[in-house]
Amino acid sequence: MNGDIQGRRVSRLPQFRKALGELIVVGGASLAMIFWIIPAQTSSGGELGLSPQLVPTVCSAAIGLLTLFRFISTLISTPAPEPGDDAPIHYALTMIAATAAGIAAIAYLGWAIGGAILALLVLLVLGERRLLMLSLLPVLVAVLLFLIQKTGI
Amino acid sequence: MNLLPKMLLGLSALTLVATGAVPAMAEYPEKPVTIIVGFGAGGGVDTVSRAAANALGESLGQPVAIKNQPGAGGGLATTALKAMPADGYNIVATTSTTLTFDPHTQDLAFNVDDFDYIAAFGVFPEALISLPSRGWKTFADTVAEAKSKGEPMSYASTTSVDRVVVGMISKQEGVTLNPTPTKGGAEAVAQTLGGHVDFAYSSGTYYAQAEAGNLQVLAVFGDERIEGFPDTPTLQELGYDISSMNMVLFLIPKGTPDEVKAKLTEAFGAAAKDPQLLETLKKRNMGSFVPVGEEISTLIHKQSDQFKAAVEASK
Amino acid sequence: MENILLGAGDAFSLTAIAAVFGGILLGYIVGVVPGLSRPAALAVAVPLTYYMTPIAAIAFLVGVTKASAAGGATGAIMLNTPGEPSSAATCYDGYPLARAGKAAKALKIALYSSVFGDMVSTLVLIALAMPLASFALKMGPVEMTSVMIFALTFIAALSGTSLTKGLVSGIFGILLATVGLDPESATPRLTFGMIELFDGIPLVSATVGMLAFTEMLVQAEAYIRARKTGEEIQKMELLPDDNGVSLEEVREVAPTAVRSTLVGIAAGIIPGLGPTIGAFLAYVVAKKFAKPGDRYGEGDIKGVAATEAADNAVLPASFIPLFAIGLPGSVSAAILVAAFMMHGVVPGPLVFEQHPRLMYGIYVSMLVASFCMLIVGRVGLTFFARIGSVPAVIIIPMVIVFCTLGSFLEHHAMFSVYAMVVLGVVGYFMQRYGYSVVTFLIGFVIGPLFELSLRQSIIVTNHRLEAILHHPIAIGFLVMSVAAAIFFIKPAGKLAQAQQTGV
Repeated sequence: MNGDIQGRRVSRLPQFRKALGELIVVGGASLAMIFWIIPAQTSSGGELGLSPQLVPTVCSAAIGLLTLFRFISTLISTPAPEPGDDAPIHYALTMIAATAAGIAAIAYLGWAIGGAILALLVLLVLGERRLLMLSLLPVLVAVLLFLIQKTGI
Repeated sequence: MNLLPKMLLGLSALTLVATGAVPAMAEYPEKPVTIIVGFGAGGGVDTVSRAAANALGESLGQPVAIKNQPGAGGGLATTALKAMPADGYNIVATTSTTLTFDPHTQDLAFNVDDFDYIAAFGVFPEALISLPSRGWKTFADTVAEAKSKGEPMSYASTTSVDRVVVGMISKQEGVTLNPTPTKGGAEAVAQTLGGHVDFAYSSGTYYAQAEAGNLQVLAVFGDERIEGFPDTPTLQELGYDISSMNMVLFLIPKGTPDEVKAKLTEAFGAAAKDPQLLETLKKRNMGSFVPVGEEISTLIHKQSDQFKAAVEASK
Repeated sequence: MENILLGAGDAFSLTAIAAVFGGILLGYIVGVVPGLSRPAALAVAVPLTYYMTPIAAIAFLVGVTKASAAGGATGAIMLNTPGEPSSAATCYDGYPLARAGKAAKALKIALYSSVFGDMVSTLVLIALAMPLASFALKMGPVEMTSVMIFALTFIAALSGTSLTKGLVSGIFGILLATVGLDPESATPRLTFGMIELFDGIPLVSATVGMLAFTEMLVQAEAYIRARKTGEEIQKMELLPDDNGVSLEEVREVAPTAVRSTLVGIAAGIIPGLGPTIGAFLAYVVAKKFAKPGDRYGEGDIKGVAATEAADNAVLPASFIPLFAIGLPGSVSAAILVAAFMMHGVVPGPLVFEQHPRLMYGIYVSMLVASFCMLIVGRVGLTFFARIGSVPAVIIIPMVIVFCTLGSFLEHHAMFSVYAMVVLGVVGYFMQRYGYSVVTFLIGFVIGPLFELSLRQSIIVTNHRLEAILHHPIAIGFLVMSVAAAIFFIKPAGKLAQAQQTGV
């Protein structure tokens, strides 16, 4: 344990960085929504009730303002550390990639084979290397999906 | 994605085995035919399609499987059909306004000329309704009250079709009838019963309530009066030059070989006389109008032109 | 009277019982398995009912809906992944209980509360359908808008320590829910030219992606990390001596269950709110009634009872407007309308005059379904309580496969699967940076209802704000919203302070 003062100095910078990152990503997205995406993707006005653009625009603006507010409050005071996930990001990314590849297999090869590939890829990403598991579970999935297909669902 | 039909045909394949498999023929149809219903299971289009499937299967000599692909008011299934081979093995069932109306108001990937039309079974009893306590006998009374009071009226709307039709009427009469969007027929009827709107458009949900005397049927959208409410005039009888006939329409991609088309037309013609289908239509108050072949094709194109003009006029 | 007896006789016929039981079984499985959800089950079940007798068909569908609600708690408790979105709030207390080795206790509490809520709500339906249905009709656009505002204040209540983050994710939910055809002008909104998006982002994709797939990513991450660092992977073994439900615990939970059932019934009668919102409302209400010593959010059995009783009470209550006046109060009720219509029965004001025998038969079947649910659930839970000892390396791939299948089933479209993955990834990043996927979901569910009723109100009142004075029910809800907002935000702040100071 370091001293209190030192601990603060160390912990404040990442907090600030994180808040700045959030402001840039979320705030930027909300500005893009308001000035570019919403006008391009909705027809405007001439309505009896509300314009189709109103709710999306208000929502985007509110998200942007709330994020700005959060950023400013980070500048003023050190926020309490919030619960969050600090695992290396590539664990989840490889998992997402495996799922996407498995689903592509389903789209092209059908449910039974594709489902087995999906299960296999997920197992591999999880770090499973036992041959028994790697063969058994995908086969089980394939049989299950095949039976579900057969019942006409 | 090409696996889906196979999945859904699982059941029908079993039926085929059970009925002792028809000998393989060189000509159409040599495998089961799929009807893709553009709406969810249990709805009007679905029920009518399923009621017709048996009779169709008998005259085609191949089982007819039903598959639901709901979305975009039948637009999703119709869009998908456009990309399918024109071999007659895939038929889409949807409401006729998906083809005759929607392409005029929405930016869709299909229009009425992209398909051939085989048949239409039944007409939805679309109507305008209100609480009996308003004292209106027909829609003429409603318009008269809107004129004399000079205040805008609001009505519960479910589709853009009714918005265009009522919009045309209010323009012609010089009154303000504001459409209130709802999630569907049930909500429109509930808002009318609760007195939250002046009147409502409903494509059929109103029937039981009107039968019980809780709702007054003011005007009919179609060409003919509705069975059970002989005193309710059609919009045309009220002096408006529009009729909206919404039917359960069966279509195939354009370019399907003539002999396949002829086979299908013949099968749908036989199904149109099937007592089971007619019974289903009667139960759902959808009349007994079952045009097939050339007749429906002409009607669909005529309706499309009419809606196109109405949409232009309402702009 | 004669019809009641005849109806009861029909309900106790072998086919009807078999149908109820089959429905319960299917619903329970679908409820338990994360990824498979009620809409998918109903999409599969409805075509099957074409071949059944009317009473068997309805009983079957009632069984599916009821049991999927009850089964949804299992995934929430055992895997922190609700089987149904309506059980999402069950995770808050159910999963900590399971981690503490009390999975069987949590499952029992969930089951008994489910059956209790379901049965009371069914009896209310039978006894009071007519008077309550006329209340449902009084809920016009203006009233519904105020109800939605009231429900939206609960986003604040569920935001936990960071109110702004909770609001951001709730509003993000509303924003994503605007995708699709605009209800008023019928023009596409934020669909990027994709016709698949005309009906909006599929709800199943959103719930399965955000709740189940996201959680699997989080668990996979934890698993990989544990594996790499050589940590012991924690298994959840059942404590041998603390997994029953004692009489004292029943007494402790009872007031919460009763309150939640009432909340659930109210949410059922008001059209559109549905079980997800009903369950969240009940959880927040329970938390607000908390006594010192209650540990909501850390594994309190009352938290499990609160959501499950309400979740299951919503369904029968949503049939009240259906059976009394023929208007469905929920998505599941709308499916029943379809089933009625398929068999030539038109639900409406005359249905009891025209088909008394069938209607009483359905009532009896609904009660039979409650009993079947109790039996199936009781047998099932002894089995499912052991899920905790199944290694994650089997659970994670299986759940991901079911997420894929479940999002596909409702519309039979791969698009829904792609949407599920995308939303799951979005949910993962939201969670990683502390944005709640649960408040997102509430916004996503309520958003479109709120926007639609607001726009309806503006049209029917002709843009006159003072028209609200003619709507006493709406005023009542608005006053309650203000009170609730003050009530929720203040204690949440205090609690956060208390936690910060380490009390």
